[in-house]
Amino acid sequence: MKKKVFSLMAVVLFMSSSLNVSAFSLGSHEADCRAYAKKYSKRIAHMQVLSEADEQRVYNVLYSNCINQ
Amino acid sequence: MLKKHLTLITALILTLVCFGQQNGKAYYYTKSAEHAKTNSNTDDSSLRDMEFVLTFTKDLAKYELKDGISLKTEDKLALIFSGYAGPYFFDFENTDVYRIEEDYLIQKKANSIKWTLTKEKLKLNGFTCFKATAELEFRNRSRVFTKPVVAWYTPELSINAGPNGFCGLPGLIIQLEYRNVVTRLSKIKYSESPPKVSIPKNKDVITEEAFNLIIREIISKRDKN
Repeated sequence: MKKKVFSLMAVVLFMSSSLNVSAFSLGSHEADCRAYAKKYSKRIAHMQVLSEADEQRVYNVLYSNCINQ
Repeated sequence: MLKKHLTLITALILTLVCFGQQNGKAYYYTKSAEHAKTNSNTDDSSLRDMEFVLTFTKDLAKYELKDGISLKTEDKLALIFSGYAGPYFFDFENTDVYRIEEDYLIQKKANSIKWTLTKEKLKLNGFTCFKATAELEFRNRSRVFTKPVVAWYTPELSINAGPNGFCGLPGLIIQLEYRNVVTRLSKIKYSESPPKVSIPKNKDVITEEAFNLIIREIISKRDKN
């Protein structure tokens, strides 16, 4: 399970690093984190065929990880 | 006369043993389904990704992540992908299952899963287990879909509970196979006095369906922004 998650995390981190250049300079840290969590929770939910409730949980995890950085 | 006494003493011992077995803790661990297929030896500690505890009394049980495990972001995501959204509470008297999420206590009936019981048997942790299968229905952004779940339960332990809030089978779930993750019992420790388990009172109780509607609304609002 962790192997899959790690590879997925690598994708997320890669995507988030590219996001640093584009979306992360648009507004406040909070707004940036919301945009980041929204974009990638949607993408991960699609890739992993997750329910809406799971997508929301992924959003919360990504947002909380981002906002605490 | 002696025979009568012996019968009485045996009955008393059996009652005490049975009473003692109503309280305790069952420990579970998870591993990927791929590992479970290739490694039948469950003692390989490198496969133990996460540990969970089912604390049970005769009235209630609670299934949660083991205390003291600090979760990194990838662990939190792994938990979501594995289907864990707990902690979960089992109310045996009213046959309800609850889980906490956000400010809500989400309620569903213990018999809400339509299990198909099979005669397929497996010896797990010294218990004779039977296979039960079900298809769980979900909804994502675009459609309704199903995911299969397999539970190995033992009628030898009359605890109507299991990992991730799964229950509704004639015995404790020893192994759960769901979303490419296997959650398996590692040990059970019985206790004479009941451990502390209580369902939180300070949360709004809503059904799973009502909660899903709230989530849909949150996502929909977020999409518009």
